[in-house]
Amino acid sequence: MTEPALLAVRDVVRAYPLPRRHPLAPAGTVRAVAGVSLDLARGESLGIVGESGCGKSTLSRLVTALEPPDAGRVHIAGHDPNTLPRMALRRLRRRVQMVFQDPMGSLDPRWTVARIVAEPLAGLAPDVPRADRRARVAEALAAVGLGAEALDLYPHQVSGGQRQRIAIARALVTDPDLVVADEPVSALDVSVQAQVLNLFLDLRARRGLALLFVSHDLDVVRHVTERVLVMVHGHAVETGPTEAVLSRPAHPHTAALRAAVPRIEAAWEGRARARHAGAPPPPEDVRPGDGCVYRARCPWAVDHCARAVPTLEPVGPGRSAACFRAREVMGG
Amino acid sequence: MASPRRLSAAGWIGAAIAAVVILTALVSLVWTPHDPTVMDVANKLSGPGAAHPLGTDHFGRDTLSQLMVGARVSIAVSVVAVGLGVGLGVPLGLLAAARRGWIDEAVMRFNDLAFAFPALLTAVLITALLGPGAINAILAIGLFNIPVFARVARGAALPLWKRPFIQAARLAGRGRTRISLDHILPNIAGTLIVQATIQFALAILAEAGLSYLGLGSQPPEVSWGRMLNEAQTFLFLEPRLAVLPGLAIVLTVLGLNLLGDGLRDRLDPRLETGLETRREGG
Repeated sequence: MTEPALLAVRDVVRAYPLPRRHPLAPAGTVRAVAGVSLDLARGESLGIVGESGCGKSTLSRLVTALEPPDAGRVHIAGHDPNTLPRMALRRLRRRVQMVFQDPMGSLDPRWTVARIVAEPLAGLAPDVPRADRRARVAEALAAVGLGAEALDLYPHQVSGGQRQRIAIARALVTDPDLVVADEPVSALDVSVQAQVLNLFLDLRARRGLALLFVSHDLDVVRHVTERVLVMVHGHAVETGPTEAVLSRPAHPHTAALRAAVPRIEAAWEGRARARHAGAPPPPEDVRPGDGCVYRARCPWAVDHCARAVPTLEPVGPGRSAACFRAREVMGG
Repeated sequence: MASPRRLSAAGWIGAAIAAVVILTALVSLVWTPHDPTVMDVANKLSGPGAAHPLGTDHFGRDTLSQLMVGARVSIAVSVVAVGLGVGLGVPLGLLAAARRGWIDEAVMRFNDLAFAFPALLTAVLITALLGPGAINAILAIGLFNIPVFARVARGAALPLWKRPFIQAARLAGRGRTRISLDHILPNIAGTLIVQATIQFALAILAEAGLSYLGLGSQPPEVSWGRMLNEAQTFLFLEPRLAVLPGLAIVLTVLGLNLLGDGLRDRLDPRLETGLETRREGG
């Protein structure tokens, strides 16, 4: 039997209740993730991009089993973390760690760096003797370019970039196969962003780490990932090799995201058409079932988009897009 | 550590008063000018003088010695009562915040029930039922501290559970109990200390009230409340006997409240995270 994929996500759905408009109104829900599938092989990197509220953070929380999906399945190395008994889940969690967006918020302000980085060892690796922990912690800190002098500091005593390095060291200390990074550089200064991104690249190259990289920033995703998945309103609308997808989008939303990146140089061809028509609608106005979720804002929308839901169809080597007019979007 | 923020002037005054009261109570363990329970009828109701710096009462007992021992009784009762509240209330609050769901509902509705009764009146009822005495006064006062600390602990813990470092701890395989003890408790300790200071002042007041009504410490035990009770007969003849324990109570409570406010400004983790966020936001 072949080794199961490192990460296989099938049609996951996660819905949250909406506030009722009045006490007797039916309780509505919003599907933050509405049936997304993805695969990630060992050592591979996948970027998840989309605007705020498109469900990309929820997806990362489903992948790390911080939340269970309402429908669909998550498999990590062949195991479903949501059905595993507690001890087996701990073993699985050693292989999947996460880096959060805000490094200040993701490090306990009252713990020292040594204790913060050692926490996953204490919780997930009871087989590592206590005496070895400090050495493992120092090793992980060295891997992110921090010396042993950081061990006894508190999070507020180091810079923002160093804090994110500490968060990454913490994610590495159990020697995982997959790191999920949810907007890991968006809280950092631009000058520091590049250093942290290069650290991710370096770690991938040296450790064979698989990376699920969630970001709204196309340039960042282009820099770090090989493949990309574009989300709108909880749906995956385009996926494929990062460079191909971002240089020649097949879905109008990808084109709009690309056009939204501020540039000093002249506008690209067709840029005006690629732009969004308006802001994202409030979540309760996005109803499933009747047509393409993006059509209200889509400059390419035609009558057919209101009648049928587009599914991901192949549009090129390793690429697929969920748009009836994908060929035209790529062409123009 | 970053440079520690200073305690305010009012906070320092509160701390000084609290220190004096505690010191007095400690000294009374080994030394008082006279035995506070020994009667000396020949010298009854004598004014302040060389032998009795603050005079004597209607049995000729030394007022200064009584005040000193009274401080000890007040502190002992309040420490145990507040300790009872912290010891049972904080775990309940942490549990409610960690588990949510029906456990949370049960704890909080029990809290509402306890809050619905006027605390001092019910303390009177409890001591009336169980019989007067210092131990029962402690139980009655302590009982009403449990929901206070349960509520404060839960309220401070709930927003923390949404913070990323708690999510990160869950990813690190930590259970809810472990997270509550290792992450939540240290981060809400400041809030709890502030609340404990304020509850301590209230407990001293409650103990004095119960003793004044004859439901707390019983003769020949000495307490500030009992001194007030006994002094009321001589209120016009010898106001000193009522004013001195009254002043002791007022000053102690005031001092503890000042200290509590000062500590709140310095320790409250909410203020602290506010500062951090602002620094980050720049």
